[in-house]
Amino acid sequence: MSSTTGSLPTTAPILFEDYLALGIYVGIALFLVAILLLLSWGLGHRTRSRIKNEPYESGVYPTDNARLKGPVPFYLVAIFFILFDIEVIFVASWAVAYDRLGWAGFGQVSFFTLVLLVGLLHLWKTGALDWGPSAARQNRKNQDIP
Amino acid sequence: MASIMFYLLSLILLTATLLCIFQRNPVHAVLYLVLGFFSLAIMFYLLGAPLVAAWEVIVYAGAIMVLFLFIIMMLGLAPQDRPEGPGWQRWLPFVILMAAVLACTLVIIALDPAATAQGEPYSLGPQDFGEALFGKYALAVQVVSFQLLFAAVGAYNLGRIQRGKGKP
Amino acid sequence: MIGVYHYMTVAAILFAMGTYGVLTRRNAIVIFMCIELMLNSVNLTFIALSRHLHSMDGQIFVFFVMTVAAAEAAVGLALMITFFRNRESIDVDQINMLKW
Repeated sequence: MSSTTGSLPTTAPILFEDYLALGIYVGIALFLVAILLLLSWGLGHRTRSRIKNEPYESGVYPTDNARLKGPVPFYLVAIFFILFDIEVIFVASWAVAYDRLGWAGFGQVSFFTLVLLVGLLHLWKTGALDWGPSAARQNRKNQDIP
Repeated sequence: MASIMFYLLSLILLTATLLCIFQRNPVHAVLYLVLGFFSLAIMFYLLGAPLVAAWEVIVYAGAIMVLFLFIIMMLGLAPQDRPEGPGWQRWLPFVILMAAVLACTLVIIALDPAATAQGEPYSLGPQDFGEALFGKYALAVQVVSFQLLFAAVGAYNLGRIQRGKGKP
Repeated sequence: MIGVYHYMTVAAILFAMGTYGVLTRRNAIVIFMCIELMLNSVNLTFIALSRHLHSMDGQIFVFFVMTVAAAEAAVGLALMITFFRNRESIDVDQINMLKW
């Protein structure tokens, strides 16, 4: 796009100071993790035996496979979370430049949010956000109406 | 400095990806892919796209991959068996594909004299990014909102428990 | 120094790995992950070219690619759950019926 290439306001390039800040940050993070691991490794009391490593020590004997396939009723909520997470990145991108965008940008982001709000209300009304006892009640009510 | 970081990040990225696609256990594959996305995000940062790097970590590594992990754990998928057949049948297509890609890119680099030209550095701050997104590309953002709406309604209609089928 | 072609070589290798994964794996969720990988290699190409050409369009497009990837993951995983509920498996070799 020739119209954008020339007139674009660009910020300063990445300098050594930025690398330094990143490096210090990474160093602190690694140091903290290492210290925590070393402390818990060094200070903890260690005994290893077959009985000690059982999930329920001196309690229930483990019987079955550890991979259980349990019903997870809220997987739909997890899926909707992703979609509304994407909404967050758009709204946040607006928020960092709200003063430059003015009222036009506010109108854009309001419409954007409104469309997704309509979606949320539809999901709420149709019972997509229900799980557990309320969903069972909803199912029973649906079965009564043929 | 920049070249060392580039080679280090590419090494991490490609190793993690390789481990991901050859991993029999899907949970391990997801974790390796998350590692790869982290190094990809740092690469984006080095390329002057800090906001995209942040969203890469938050959305891809933080949300989408966690959803994959969640679904894998919910369905309780066991590690897959090794496929039958001799070993070269599994390796040969991969080797041929990689060799073709590498040959093509090397030929392009060899033919183009400006291949390794650095150019002046370019970086786009979050404010400029937001301004462009809601200024020049405002219509596309509205289309995206409708896409998300349809995805939510579609996912609900596909994934809900129909009447008479009790299982989750 | 590191130029745009270095990044594009990495992206090409990443895309090839993703293609290989899509073609060889049978677990539908792993195939999905490989598709995400291919989308990300395209993202890397976009960002590298956006820097090379001094244009922000590449970065904006990466945003939309991310959105499409998230919507695809949401709908695709809902499909996979539905399929698993009917077949007790998400092996793509068993997805061979268009109508139930």
